[in-house]
Amino acid sequence: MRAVLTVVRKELTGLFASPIAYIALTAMALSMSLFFLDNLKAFNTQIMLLQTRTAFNQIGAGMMPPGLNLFEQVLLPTVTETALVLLAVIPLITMGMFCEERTRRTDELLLTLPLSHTQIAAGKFLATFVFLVAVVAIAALLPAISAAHTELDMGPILASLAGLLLLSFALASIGLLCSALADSQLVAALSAYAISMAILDFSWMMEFTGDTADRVLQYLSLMTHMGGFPRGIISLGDIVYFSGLGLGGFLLARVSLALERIN
Amino acid sequence: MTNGAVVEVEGLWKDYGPLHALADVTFEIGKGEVFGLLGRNGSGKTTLLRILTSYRLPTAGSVRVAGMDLIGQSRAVRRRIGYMPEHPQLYADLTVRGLLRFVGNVHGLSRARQKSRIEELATHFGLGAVIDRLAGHCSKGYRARISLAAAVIHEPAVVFLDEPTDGLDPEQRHQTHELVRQLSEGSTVVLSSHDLDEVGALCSRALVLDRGRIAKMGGIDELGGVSGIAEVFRQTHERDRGQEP
Repeated sequence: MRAVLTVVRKELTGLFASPIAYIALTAMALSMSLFFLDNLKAFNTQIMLLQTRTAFNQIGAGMMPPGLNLFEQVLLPTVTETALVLLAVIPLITMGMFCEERTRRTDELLLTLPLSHTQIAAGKFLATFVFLVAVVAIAALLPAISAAHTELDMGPILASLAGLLLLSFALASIGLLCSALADSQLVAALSAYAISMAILDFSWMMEFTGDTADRVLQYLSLMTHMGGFPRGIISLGDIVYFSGLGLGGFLLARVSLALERIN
Repeated sequence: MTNGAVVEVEGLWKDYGPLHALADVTFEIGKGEVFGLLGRNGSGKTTLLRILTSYRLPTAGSVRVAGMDLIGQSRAVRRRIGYMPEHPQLYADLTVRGLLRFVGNVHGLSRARQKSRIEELATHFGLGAVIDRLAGHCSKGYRARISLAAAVIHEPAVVFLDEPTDGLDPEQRHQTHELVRQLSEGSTVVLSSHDLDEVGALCSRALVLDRGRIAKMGGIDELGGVSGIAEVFRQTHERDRGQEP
């Protein structure tokens, strides 16, 4: 475990020494603020319109139309938009993790140290996950500030953050695998982005497939498994899906490291 | 194989597609030796060192380092060796101290031991002036010394050096030679070079590789000293020129 933590520390030092980490954190903070405030503003406008209408008609006062609530109007779209930002940002964080070792030829030092492939891969994956916790913590700031000033049901908010974390880990695993396979960081980032975009939502493919394939494609789509979190639902199926993607990426990256020794 | 051999290589092959980078290489290195690996560019020296340090796997053959099988016990082997690659590349975002700490940590040195070893090595290798600078931003001479310090922080049984003086100025070469002599007091040193004078001055035995095969091997005197080894080089060069269209 000590060896893995040593690799984690080295990777985090490297991440925070590069501008990419700060660009990712800033992009996340900015986009989250914009999405959250924009959705909140739209929600407030609808509430004001509704209040004006009920005051004018003097009927239905105190009644909210279905679907007009903080979760449907603010939290759900913010989580979806944040997921899209993560999809763009995570390949930038992961692209150098394995690939840079090869291009800078520091892998000669790393692979001749008494570290197993599992320890190296685990160190790199854990460091990325720790960084992503910081990224998602930024996403948690605005709901946390809102919660401090009003009464909010924290269940869906916490579930949404858990969903974003699981999504981040799955996207990071795809990115890390691409970094382990590619010879250039640009190729690693672009291929991770392309794969993530492709599996984000397979509904475009369902026009050409039958019922059984539709069900499989729907299960494989990332967004299918994100829907429950903003409603406060954390299902075992979704956890298994995201963990499976993460574990698959980790194992394949580990195999790719082992294969490198054969070359 | 001989008892007391620290490196035992038998029938080693490394293929890259149809090319034999190493072909049926067999040799032994005894404890405490400074052993030279010689050969022209592309002769297979770096490939051989990369296999001996477990950075790459051989296609066939067996290698034992410090009494352990390189393939079956590769991590145990890596605990007992130090490696300074050709043109050492260091982590640009770690300080020299941070890099030495990282390597020491991976080798399981305690915090107190790391601290004392880093101080010893900084003094011994003249790294005091750069110890808190970013390792990747140091000059070539310093990078070579930092890499050497990282290779020996855990006091390995065998140290592999791949062209350690390549690109260094005469003063830096002299300092590196001194460091290799000091290293050889506690460890077996395997030194790859195409500088015959360097090998003649530092090594007790040497192996000359030619197109992945052993062309000559033995004590420096048995090989006829530097002039004898130069003759082997000249013959291989002449042969290659004769084969050119």
